[in-house]
Amino acid sequence: MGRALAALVVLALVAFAGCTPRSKAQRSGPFLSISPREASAPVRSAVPPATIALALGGLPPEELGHLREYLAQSTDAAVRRAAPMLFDLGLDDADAASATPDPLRQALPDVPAWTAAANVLGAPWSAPGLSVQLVPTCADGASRCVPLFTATDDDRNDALVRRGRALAWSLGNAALLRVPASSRAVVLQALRRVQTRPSGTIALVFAAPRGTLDEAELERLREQARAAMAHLPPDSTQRSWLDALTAARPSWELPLAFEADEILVVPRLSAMARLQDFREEVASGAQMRQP
Amino acid sequence: MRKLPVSVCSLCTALLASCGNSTSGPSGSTDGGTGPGAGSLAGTWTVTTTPMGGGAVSTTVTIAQDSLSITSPDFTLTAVRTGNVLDFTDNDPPSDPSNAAALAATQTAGSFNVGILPFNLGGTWAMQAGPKGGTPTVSCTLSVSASEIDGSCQYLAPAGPWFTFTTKKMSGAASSLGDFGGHWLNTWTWQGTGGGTYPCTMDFTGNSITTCTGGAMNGQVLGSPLAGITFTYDGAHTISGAAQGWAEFSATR
Repeated sequence: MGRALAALVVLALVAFAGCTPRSKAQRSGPFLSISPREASAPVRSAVPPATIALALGGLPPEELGHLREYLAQSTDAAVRRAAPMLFDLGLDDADAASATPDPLRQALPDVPAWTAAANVLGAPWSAPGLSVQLVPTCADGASRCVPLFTATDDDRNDALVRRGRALAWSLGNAALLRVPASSRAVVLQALRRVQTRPSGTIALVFAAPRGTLDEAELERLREQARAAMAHLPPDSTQRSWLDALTAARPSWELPLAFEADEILVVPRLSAMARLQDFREEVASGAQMRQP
Repeated sequence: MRKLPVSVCSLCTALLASCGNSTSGPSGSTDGGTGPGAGSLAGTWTVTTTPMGGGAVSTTVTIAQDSLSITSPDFTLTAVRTGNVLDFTDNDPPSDPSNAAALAATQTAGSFNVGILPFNLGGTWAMQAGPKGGTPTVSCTLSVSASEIDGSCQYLAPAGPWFTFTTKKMSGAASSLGDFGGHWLNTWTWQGTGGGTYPCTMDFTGNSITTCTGGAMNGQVLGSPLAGITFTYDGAHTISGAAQGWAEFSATR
């Protein structure tokens, strides 16, 4: 078992480094098609409707129940604004002084997963002066077209590619591991154990490009979300997440396909300047053994 | 809350960037380097922040010698230094110039090694803030030295206390941020009704900043505003971290 696992680690690391021994044809896609566009005003992206289901699909299965328990602890009404920073001149001391703990904060360990899921489903991505699409093949005329899973030094030195990959940060920096079926459960569990570390770098782990949540458990979560909503004021900015929870469907699907022997690992937004830590965390997850 | 992660990122960025006439530390190139601590943060950054309850927000932050501008869907902020005065203008929302706020910070320079950061921060600062073109409503002081950073703010009209803080360096550490490097203890006091005093440790090591746990993660919204901040610069073209323990951000130029 030990040797098998060591072999698995080597395979995983090789795959992670983008040198997986897949055929050239297999490595041909997907791609990020990156194009400059006329500069526009800063944008606020909408939360795609399927975000919650995808996030729950990429979290450990037990997290669905944990999230319901977090919400069940709900006793307070609103998430208040945090203490003002120096330049938040419009925030009065009442805001700062009367803010109360909110039960939704209990669910915050899951927020990086929600954030990442929203970005995964956000294609095509756009920012002032930039547009990025996830495409199966490169079309003629694209300003830049780079393999999704293989970032090179040339990419990093090209400002347009760098910014494009940052805009599509979740998939643009994800790791695709090839794991033999015999070790799949072990590696998956190990990665998900690493994933739940508060200071970790992993947001989502997918064993398949599509799946279905436990419908009964999801319904209990939806009920709890509806109950939590009752405690929020109508203008609470937290309502949209709870709305999304109440509307979550059991099925989820990634916008890209991968093989049955592969695992997709998506980093957290907060880890973008710590991608080496992400790589090491993925590698360490792949090396962990079941207790 | 939407403004906080942008503010944290921008303030850290501003702190690390050339908003002042540098008197200490090397001046950086504009293209950055590749190793830890290399380069400068000057340039145009696309910042992604994640306010809870909404989609990601894309903000443009442009940093140049003696100037900083932040353009977000929610606000715009510009900072320009003239001599020893740093002027900030905040339009919140950007579509309503009548709601602009201004802050003027006057520096009496002192010794402070900011390491690789071309930012003249040392000494004492006197600040006044309020509606742009109107009477200041807030007055603040800040003193920055290698061993201690203290500050306070109070309301002017009507007069009343707001907050004070002291920050003492407990031990030093190697950091690209020069005299910032080390383990600090900040003690933040919210004054007035419902106030309180909240200690928070802060570590500056390498190219990273990590503050005490807290913020939204444990519901200590009333506590230190410095809690739950992580900030990492990769030494080249990317910054990322979190504010309040959960509001993630990243920036790429």
